[in-house]
Formats: sequence, C-alpha cells, structure tokens
Amino acid sequence: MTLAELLDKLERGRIGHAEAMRWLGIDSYNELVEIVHYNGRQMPGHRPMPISPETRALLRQITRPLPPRPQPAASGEEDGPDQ
Amino acid sequence: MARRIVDVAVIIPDASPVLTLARVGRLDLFETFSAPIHIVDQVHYEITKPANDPEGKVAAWLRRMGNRVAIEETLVGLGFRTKLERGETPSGGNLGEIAVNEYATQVALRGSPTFAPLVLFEDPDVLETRIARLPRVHLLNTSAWIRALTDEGIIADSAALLEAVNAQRKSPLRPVERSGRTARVRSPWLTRRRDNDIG
Repeated sequence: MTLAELLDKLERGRIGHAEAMRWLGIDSYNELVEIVHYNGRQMPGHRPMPISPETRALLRQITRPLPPRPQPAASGEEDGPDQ
Repeated sequence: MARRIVDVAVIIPDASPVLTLARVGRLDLFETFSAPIHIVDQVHYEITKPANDPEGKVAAWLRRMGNRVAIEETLVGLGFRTKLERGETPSGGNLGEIAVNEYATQVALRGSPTFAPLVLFEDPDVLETRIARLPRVHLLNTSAWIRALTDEGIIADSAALLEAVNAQRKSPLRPVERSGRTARVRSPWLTRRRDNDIG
C-alpha cells in the first residue's frame, strides 16, 4: 500500500487511525492529523493546514498563471514539446 | 518615504524539487515563476546526469526555460567538471552542498542589499546550510510550494499532484516554509509577522 492509498482509505473511513498510525510508524494522533492535512487530505471535521500569508503574498509577487499545458506527445513526453 | 524595490530570485540548492516534478511530469510548474531561477552548477550536473534524467526530461525543460534559468558557476563545480574532462571519476559526494555554500557565500558578500532569495528545496539538510541563513531568505519546500500555488489559484490539482509525488516516496513530503524578515527592505511579505521567524 502506498501513502496515497493509505490516505485515501483513511479519508474514506475504510481504515482506522490506529492502523494508519501503525503503517506510518508513528504513535501520535497529532502527527497523523498533520500528515493527512499536509498531503492535501482532510480528517472529518478538520480544515486544511493554511500556508502563511507571507508565503502567499510572496508568490503573488513572483508568480504568473500557468500557460495552457500542451497535449502529451505521442512519444510519451509529459512536459510538452521540446522547443 | 519611497519604497525600495525588492529584488527576488528563486534559488534551487537541491536537485530534489526538479527531479520530483520531472518524475510526475510537472516541470511546467517552474514556468509560473516570473522571477529568475538560479541553479548552482553542481546541482545542474546532478539533475541532468543520465542516472537522474534517463529520458532527458530535465534537459528538455532547461532548454525550454532558456535564460529564465541561470546556472551559477562555482569553483567546486568547475573543479569537478575539470576532473571529469581529464577522464577521472571524482565522487560527487557532498559537492552539491559545498557548491551551494560557496554560492551562498558569494551572495552574502556581494549580493544586492535588497536581494530577497526564495529558496526552493526538499532536502532538510538545506535548512542547516549557509543559504538558509542569508539575509531576507524565504524557504519553501516543494510540498508547501504546491499547496501555496493552489491557494493562489495557479493550479487546481494540488491534492492529486501531492498524491502522485508521495506515491513515489517512502515517507510523506511535508510542507516546510520559513518566512523571510528584514528591517530594511519594505515589502508586505517581508515585513509582516517578523516575530514569527523560526530560524
């Protein structure tokens, strides 16, 4: 089972906290909550961990929208044409 | 009082952010940066060597990025390349870290007083190097960067992307960020919550 699969099962309630903590090798519920939120998942009734306002403000200053992604080439290259 | 212009550049002192995104086919995320990206020569060697870039994705990405990516030459990297050209097989060992320290020293001694580096990393050891102690440095690991890009509406699929990243890792990639602080450079992202620095 990969971490992604574990988080998916945990979020859907298919495995319990104890089993997830055993798989992750941790003994702290708080740490489990942290891992789940940090990986974009949510425990029932929890809100996502926020990124700090400073970081968001910095990225606003130096980030522009992503150009449309080209369709993957037939050769399998996923990052667009080499131009 | 007139505000001073903040000179921001993205520094990648660690091969992992590039290799991670290459593995999941999302090197295009670097194209969201309007600030220049600086990569130390020894790290450039690491991300482009055939063992780490077997399909040439990173090399193709670097060609696409053109002068938006600056390769920073160091004496460490120059010495390494010289030995390779002589036919020797020097150990790459910790040369990446040593080269980054050399670059950080150059920035610390000769950099602009308004220079604010955004360091994008994954290896926690980076937090112990000189580059993490540069004035006004802002540190962000790949996971936190992906989360922040989603918060800003730049990408919509951070959960799926983090899952794809973590599916290839033995341990989860946890977001790490450390906000920069300064008393001299006036910038909203630098001057707020200055007491929150954990470094």
